[in-house]
Amino acid sequence: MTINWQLLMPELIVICTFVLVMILDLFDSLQKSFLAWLAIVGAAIALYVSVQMLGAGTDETQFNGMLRVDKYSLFFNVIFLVSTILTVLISMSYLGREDRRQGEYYLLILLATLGMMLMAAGNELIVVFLGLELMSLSLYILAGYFRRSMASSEAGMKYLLLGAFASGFFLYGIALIYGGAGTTNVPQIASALTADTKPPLLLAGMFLLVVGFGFKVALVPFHQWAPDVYEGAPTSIAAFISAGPKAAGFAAFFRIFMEALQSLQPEWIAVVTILAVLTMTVGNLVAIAQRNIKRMLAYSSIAHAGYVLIGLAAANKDGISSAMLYLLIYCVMNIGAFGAVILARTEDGESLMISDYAGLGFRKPLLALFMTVMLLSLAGFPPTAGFVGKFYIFRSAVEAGQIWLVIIGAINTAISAFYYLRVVVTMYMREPEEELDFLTYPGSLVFALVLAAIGVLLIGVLPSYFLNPAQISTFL
Amino acid sequence: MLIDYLPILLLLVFAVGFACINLALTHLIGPKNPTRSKLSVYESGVQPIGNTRQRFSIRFDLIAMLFIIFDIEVVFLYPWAIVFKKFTATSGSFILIEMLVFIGILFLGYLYAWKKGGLSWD
Repeated sequence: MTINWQLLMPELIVICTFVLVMILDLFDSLQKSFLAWLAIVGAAIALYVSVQMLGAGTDETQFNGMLRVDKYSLFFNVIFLVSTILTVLISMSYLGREDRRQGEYYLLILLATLGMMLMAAGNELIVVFLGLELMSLSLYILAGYFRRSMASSEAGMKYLLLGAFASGFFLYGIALIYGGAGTTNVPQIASALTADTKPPLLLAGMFLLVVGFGFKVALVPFHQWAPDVYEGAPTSIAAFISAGPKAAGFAAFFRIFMEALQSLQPEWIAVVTILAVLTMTVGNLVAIAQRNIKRMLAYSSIAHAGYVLIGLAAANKDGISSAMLYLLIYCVMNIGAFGAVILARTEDGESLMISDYAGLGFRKPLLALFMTVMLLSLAGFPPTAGFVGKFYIFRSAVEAGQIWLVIIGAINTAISAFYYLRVVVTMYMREPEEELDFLTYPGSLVFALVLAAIGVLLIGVLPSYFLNPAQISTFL
Repeated sequence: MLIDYLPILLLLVFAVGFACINLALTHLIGPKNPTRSKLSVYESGVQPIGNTRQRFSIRFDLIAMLFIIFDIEVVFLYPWAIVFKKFTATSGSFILIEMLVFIGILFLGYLYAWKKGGLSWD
C-alpha cells in the first residue's frame, strides 16, 4: 500500500500548524497573539491547498477506502477552514492580551478543525466517529474555557454530558448498521443493501444515527443543549460551535444517508421531513421570546439547521449542493453576527441583552452596520447571501415535489424576519436607556467582520461563482 | 436467522434469572442477625476511618490521565514491534519513521504537560 501524501495535504498542514503552535506555546516570552496569527496562516494555507485540489477535481480513496478525498470533502474543508480563520480572528481581542492560557484555545480550535475534516472525508463509519469525537472533545473543553465563570463551566459540563450521550447513540447506530449490512464502509454498505430486503436492524441503526447527528447539529427535539451552551460558552466559541461543527455534522449526515443508506430513502425522507418542520418552527418561534442575543442566535442557529435539512429531504443532487452552499453562507454570516456581539462589548463586559443595543445605530454606526448586514442575511433578505442560500434550497425542494415543506419554510422565514429585524429596529429607532462605555474597535475583529460582510454581499450578488463549485462537488 | 441467537437469549435469561432468584432467596429465607461490626463498611479488613465522601485534589485525576496516555503509547508499541519484522524488507524505514513521528508527538505532549505544570504537585 502506498500513501498519496498529496491527497492529505490540507489535513497534514493543519496537523503541522497544531504541533508548531503547541511548541511555541511553551515559550512564555512569546506574544500569545503570535500563536493566533500562526494558526490563521496555517489554516489559510490549508484553505488555499483545498481550493487548488477542488479546482483540480481530486477524487481518490486512501487508507484502504477509509478516507475519500473528493470534491465534496474538499468543499467542506473550505467551509471548516473559513470558519476556523474567522473564529480565531474574532477571538483574539475577545480573549485579551493578558490571557496566558490562550495558546491551548487555538490548539483546540485547530484540533476540532482536523476532526471536522476527517468527518467530511470519512468513507467509513468508524472514521466519521473518530472525527466526531476529536471535534467534540475539543469543543467540550472550549465551551468551558472560562473556568472561573459559572456559566461557562456549566456550558462545558452540559455539552460534555449530552454530547457523550449523543456519541453513544451514534456508536450504537453504527453497531446495528454493521449488524445489518456486515460492513462499516460507506460504499460497501450501499452495495450490501441493493436487495429489496430491509433488515429491521438496519432501520433501527438508521434511526439511532439520526438521533446522534440530531444532537450534534441541534435538531428539534435534540436541541436542548444548544441555548445553554451558546449562552454560557465564550461568544467566539459559540460562533465556532454554530458554524464549523454544524457543517461537519451535516457533511457526514449527507454522505452516510445519501450514499450508504440510499435504499432506505423512503424511510429516512419521512423522518428528515418531520425533523425539518419541527426544527424550523420550534427554533423560530422560541427565538421570538428571547431577550438575550446569544440565546436568540442559538435558536436561530437551530432554525437554520432546519432549512439545511430541507436540502436533505429533497434527496437529490440539487438539494445536497444547495445545502452545501447554504452551510458555507451560514458559517460566514453567523460568525459575523457573533463577531458583532463581541464588538458590542462595554467596560462592564458583554452587552448581551437586546435592549442594550438601543441607539447603537447613531453612537456606533460601524458596529450597527455590521450587525444589520449579518441579521438581514440571516433573515434572508435579497441583496445578501442568506437570500441566495434559502432560494436554492427551496428551489431544490420544489423540484423534488416537497411543496408543503417549502411553504412551511417560507412561513418560517417570515417569522424569523420578525426577531432579526427587532434587533435592527432597536439599534436604529430606540433611544438608549443608559450610557454604556463601549470599548474601542480592535483591528483583528473589525478585519474579520469586514471579511464576513464582503463574503455575505459577494455571495449575495454573484451566487453562481459559489453555487457552481457546490454543484460539481456533490458525490452523487 | 434470528433463531440462531436463541441460545444466547436462553443464556441471558438463565444468567439473569439465576442471579435474581438467588438474591431474592437469600434475602427472604436467610437468617438476619445484624451486629455493629457486620454493618460496618468493608475496607479490606481495616477499620474504616471517616466518610468516603471527601474532596480530594484534582491533581490525582490529572496524573492518572497522563499515566493512561503514556501507558497506552507503550501498549501500542508492542503490536508494532511484532509486525515490524515482517515489513523490514519492504517498507521498514517508513514504518520506523512513522512510529518515531508518533512517539515524537507524544513526547511533545509530555514536554507540554511538564512545562505547563501538569506534573508539579503543590
